[in-house]
Amino acid sequence: MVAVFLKDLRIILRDRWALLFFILVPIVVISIIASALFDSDEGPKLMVPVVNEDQGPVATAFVKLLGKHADVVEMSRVEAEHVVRDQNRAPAAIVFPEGMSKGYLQGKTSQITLLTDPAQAVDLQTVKVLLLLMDKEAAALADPLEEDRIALQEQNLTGNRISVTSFEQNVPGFSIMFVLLAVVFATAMGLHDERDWGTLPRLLVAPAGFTWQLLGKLGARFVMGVIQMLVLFLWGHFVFKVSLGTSFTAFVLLTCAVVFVCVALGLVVAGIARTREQTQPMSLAVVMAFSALGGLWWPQSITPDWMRDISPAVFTTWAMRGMNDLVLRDRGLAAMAEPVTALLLYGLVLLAIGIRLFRTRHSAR
Amino acid sequence: MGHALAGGRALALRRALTGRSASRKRSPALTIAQGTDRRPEVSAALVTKNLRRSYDGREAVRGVSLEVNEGEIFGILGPNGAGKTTTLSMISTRIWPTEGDAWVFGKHVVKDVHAARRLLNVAPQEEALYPTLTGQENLEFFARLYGVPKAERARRVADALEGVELTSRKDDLVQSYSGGMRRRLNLGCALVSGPRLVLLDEPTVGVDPQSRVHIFEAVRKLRTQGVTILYTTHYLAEAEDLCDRIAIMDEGNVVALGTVPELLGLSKTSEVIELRLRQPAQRVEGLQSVDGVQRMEQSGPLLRLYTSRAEEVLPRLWNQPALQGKIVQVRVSPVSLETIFIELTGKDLRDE
Repeated sequence: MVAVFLKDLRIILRDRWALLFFILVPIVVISIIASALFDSDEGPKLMVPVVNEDQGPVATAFVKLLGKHADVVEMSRVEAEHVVRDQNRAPAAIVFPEGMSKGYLQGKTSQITLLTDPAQAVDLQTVKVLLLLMDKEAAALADPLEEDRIALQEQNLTGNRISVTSFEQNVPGFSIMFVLLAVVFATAMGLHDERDWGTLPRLLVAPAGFTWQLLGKLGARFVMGVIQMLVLFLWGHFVFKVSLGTSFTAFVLLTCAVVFVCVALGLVVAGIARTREQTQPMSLAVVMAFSALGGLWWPQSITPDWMRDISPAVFTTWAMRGMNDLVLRDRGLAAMAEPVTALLLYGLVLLAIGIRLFRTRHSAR
Repeated sequence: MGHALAGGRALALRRALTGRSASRKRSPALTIAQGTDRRPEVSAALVTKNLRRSYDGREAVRGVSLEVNEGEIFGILGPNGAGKTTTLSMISTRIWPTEGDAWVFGKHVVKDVHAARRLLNVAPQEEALYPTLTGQENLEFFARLYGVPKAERARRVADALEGVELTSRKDDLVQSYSGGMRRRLNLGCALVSGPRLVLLDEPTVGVDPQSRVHIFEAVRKLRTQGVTILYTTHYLAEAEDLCDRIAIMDEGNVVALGTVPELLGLSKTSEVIELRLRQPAQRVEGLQSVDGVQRMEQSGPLLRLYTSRAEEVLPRLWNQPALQGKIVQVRVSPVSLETIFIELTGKDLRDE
């Protein structure tokens, strides 16, 4: 028993890189998750655009009260719609209508319009809570016995629905994560299989160039990844009524772009990791880091500023952006231009790096 | 052609260059005029010129120059670590030479790598198969990989299966094959593309006798079809039985090259007297000085005495006091490739 114990320990310790990843992966993942969720005591302030058409004392007081809990930015209605609808930088914009102060002070119920992006469901809920809080505090200041002088009217800027289901909020992120997990692992391990089966040397001397063979291997993984993602989303669509957007073509296009990046990422992992033992923790680290940074597990709005600043450099951000546009905002093919372009560029760069790594390691030189 | 020397000429040149002294044994069998970069004539299946390969400063191959004729089985014989596989890897285009050149049917293995690859195929020493595919699926894949046209593919696969006698197991997963069957399929995968030059790297290592016979038959059949075979082995009998010509390699050099009779002619002796004694002999050192004995080896109760005049030496041995009443068996045989190998390298392949 001791002999086996010592032998196994020796084998484990011999692969220094695997050991490093073994230690490093949990540290990196835990640090990212902790940073995302618990980076500051108060948490990041939500940006709330305010359209102050009232310009009266009550609106001013409301803005002040809101400012305690959110990052309130006053702007015109056109600008607010742009921020919510096109840029998705805020879950909602609050419109204080003209004459609101007058009515409020006369004890009449005032109607506030909320221009919403239901795709940001969690943050939208926060805005509604903030409004409720604002109403209570304002009422308490004026007359402790008076409450509920505000009526809320919601107007969805990004789709036809006022709200989205819990499934619709969670299916895109988790589906992308599982596809990422499966494709990166399978691609990286599949390339190691060739090494273990001894077939790699045979492939390297075949007249069909090794790069083409690599692309063939990746192609098989790509097809399997696309099928997996389609099945996951179709399951969500038929069983949980998750929307797939207005264009199935757009959905397939985005799916292909996402899986393409995942496959290229798997190639890079296989190109860096020299053994199976290195591949496993490295794949896990990559999947978890990209999931956390890209907002697959939680809305990016809850993450600290630095994380949001780097998020455009993470492909999962673009994958989620595209998928949210389809599933939660009911958008179509036109909305896919930006995320799909970003994903394809990302994938091409990773593919070039991966091929380079493989060629350097296995070239005839 | 300055560098394309073969057969008897090569042997004669080697004799002239190296003589038989131990100090010259590391010289390459063929010394090539340096500085020529002429393409070999296309009739040669393979020409290597001063091939060298270093790994981290250690020279694994130290200037190998060979010419293999089309349609011959050319053996590279040598102990493990002699540089056989590295030489084969350079020819197969798997690795590039640190120095020197090689041409496969006139195609340079570095400068014209794709053309060279289309003309050859290799069965690596380690099995290179997909265990979760069937034998037939493996062959079909390698046929496609080498661009065998669809119309020909089925026939080529069937021929390869038949060639390695695996037709009856073609639909079984490779993971269910025995070790010998896998080695045969490994060979089949190298044949399915219809190469003109096949590189076989120790194809019978760890193979059961039955599979070994199948492999030999497949190799001989290839020769009848005009396929050129470069066959590395450290089994003397295999090299002797199969190969038209043999290059003996040691420590990265070709130390001898020729047909089996030509190699045997390199020996200082022509016969081996084997004396089996009742028990391990003692005080037999004196036998070395018996007139006509050129060398002696002792291995337990077995004495081997190398000579050129066995019929004269035997009576003298019989009268030696150290052997009186101890001999239980006498065998006289002509000198073998093994003898040559030991003479040239100072090593016994059986020790490997």
